[in-house]
Amino acid sequence: MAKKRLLLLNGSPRRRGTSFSFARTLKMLTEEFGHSAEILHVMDYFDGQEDLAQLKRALAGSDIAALVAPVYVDTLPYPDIWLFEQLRSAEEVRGKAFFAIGQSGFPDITVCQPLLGSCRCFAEAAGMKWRGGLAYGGGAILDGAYLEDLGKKGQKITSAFELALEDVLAGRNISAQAQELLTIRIPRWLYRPLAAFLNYQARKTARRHGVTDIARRFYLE
Amino acid sequence: MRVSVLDGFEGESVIAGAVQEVLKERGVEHFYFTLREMNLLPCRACGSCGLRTPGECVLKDEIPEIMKALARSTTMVLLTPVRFGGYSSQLKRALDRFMLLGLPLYMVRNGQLLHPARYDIRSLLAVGLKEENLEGQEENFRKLVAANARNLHLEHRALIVGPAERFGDIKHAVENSLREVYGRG
Repeated sequence: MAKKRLLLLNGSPRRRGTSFSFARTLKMLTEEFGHSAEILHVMDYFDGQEDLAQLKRALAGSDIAALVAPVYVDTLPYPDIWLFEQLRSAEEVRGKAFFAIGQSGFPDITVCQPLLGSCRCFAEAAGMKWRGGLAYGGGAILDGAYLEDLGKKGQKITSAFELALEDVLAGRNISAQAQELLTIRIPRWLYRPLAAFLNYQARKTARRHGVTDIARRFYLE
Repeated sequence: MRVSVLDGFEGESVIAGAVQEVLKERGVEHFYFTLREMNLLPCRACGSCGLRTPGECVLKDEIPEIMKALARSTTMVLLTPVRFGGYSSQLKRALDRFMLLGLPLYMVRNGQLLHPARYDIRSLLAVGLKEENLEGQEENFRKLVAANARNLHLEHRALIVGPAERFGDIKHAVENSLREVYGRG
């Protein structure tokens, strides 16, 4: 297989969160497979710290592009939609393979569907070859930790990414098996005790910050 | 009914015109925000609005004007081109701040883990203008609106308008949708 060049876009407004951790592992795996990968941060271009022309050149020089992004209010964060709008008619993306990984704080992976659907629509609009998407639930709990530090959980995510990369580097769509490995199954009956635990933690943290009214209706005051 | 309209179009649009006429003709009390004219910063997920300054965004921009209106509204109306099966970036830069509308706590409803609502908004109408033909974009748009409504605890309706639809027909559809979604909320 000819050496491929993968461009990974961290689509999170946070440079060092879970999306970056995922992109970092994808880069490492790509290089282990004998190909090259580069991570760029969408926010650098959105904030104007880097020139969008440079991103377009990087895209032109790549074979495969990928976006790793958190779910914000049920879909892509605003800067990622902005980037898609900038790239929609760019010659540099035409014909490139494209895949996406969405990660949400909530355990239900269907939360990522609108995000991945928008990525697929962008690929079609921009003339790219859509290779599929992966959804991860529970990303907020990872809070940017590196996957090699997360024991079995990290290993499973890494295995899922390995499978996905094998597919994409070989010119295939991402298999369902990769998503199966990535999916955490929390039984619905556990949601209430989980909510109770998370609420206990939230109130404890709020008290530590001196907050007495977590439900404050600030914009009605 | 008191309505807050978030106009996420990049310029004048027939949908915005139709919505404004319906609201004026029906005497509906409303707040109208032309987002492209507003200073709205991107959410940085700092978490302050959850557990440090509950319900208040620490970024200094015009989001308080929108939030004050939403807090006092029964119905939220979102106007947008259908952009890659979702919202325009103009609309999303306001919507990304919608963590302010929820509490940093969790509840379970209909088998879903959700944040409780902070205010008493009851319904959502999203009106999208179809710009191009992309496979699955309408379905994705409706899924997105349904997800927003579920997480904000709102009755909802997603209305997608084609580029060649007549102004009168758009007005009629908007009016019916508003009546329907407000009635259910």
